[in-house]
Amino acid sequence: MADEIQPIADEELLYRRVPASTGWFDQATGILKPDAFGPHKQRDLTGISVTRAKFKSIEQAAQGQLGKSYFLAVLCVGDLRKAKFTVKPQPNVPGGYDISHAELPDLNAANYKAAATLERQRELAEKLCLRVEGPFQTEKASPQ
Amino acid sequence: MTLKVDNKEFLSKWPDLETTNVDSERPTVRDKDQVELFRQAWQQLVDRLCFDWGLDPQQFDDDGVEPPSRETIIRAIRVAQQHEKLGHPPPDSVVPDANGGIVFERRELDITEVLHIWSDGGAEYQQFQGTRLVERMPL
Repeated sequence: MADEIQPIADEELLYRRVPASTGWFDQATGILKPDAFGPHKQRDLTGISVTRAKFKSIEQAAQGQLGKSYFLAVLCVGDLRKAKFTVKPQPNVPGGYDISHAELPDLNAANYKAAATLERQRELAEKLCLRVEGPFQTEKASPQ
Repeated sequence: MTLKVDNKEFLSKWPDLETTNVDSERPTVRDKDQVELFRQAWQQLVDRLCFDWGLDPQQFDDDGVEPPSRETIIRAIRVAQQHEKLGHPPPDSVVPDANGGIVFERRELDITEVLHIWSDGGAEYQQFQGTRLVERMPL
């Protein structure tokens, strides 16, 4: 099963993990910053990571570094596709296989400063994010 | 390192600031109470960058997030001090970016203005109308 790639349906929900320490989500105002969707210039070579909600609970998707807290921005695949975003399943992750892992390849390390990327980050934060859940604290080491 | 600021350019970006001498390092502003409030807000921001971020940048170290370096924090402080001197309105928020940069953001209705201090030494002014980037220039 390790090489199986399940296509992503329009009705699927995705989670984007947002570290609470960054201030990218302000619980008091409900404002989510575009920086929550900024590609990392070394890690996000093929796109920013999201988790497919059909394969993980929200608490599982929010697991990160031990002792840290995370919000989850919730996105709908159909909305993303209507807005011309590509959503790609990417179960092959560093150190293993994770069927819940997907990527938005339009936002990647090579274009992290591009005007289109800055605009897309803002579109995700301000128009396409359905809601933000959390924060969830990571109390056990992540299985990854 | 000094960030060069074109006063005329910058003052033209912040239309609610009424100045009588755009060539001056410290332009004369009609509403001094407002400018004092701006100055205090910038100062609080500088204090936060110095004492909160500067003393513990590792607080931002996380999956997919690189904490700002000491040099980047110093550059952000210089940008803040420069804008304080110019009497500009302060940002609504300051956050790190994913790559060790720092982002100042100010929003009014549909217009968002951003001062982005990148981790590679660059810095720029960006203006968005809604989600569209309508202006971008290096600082």
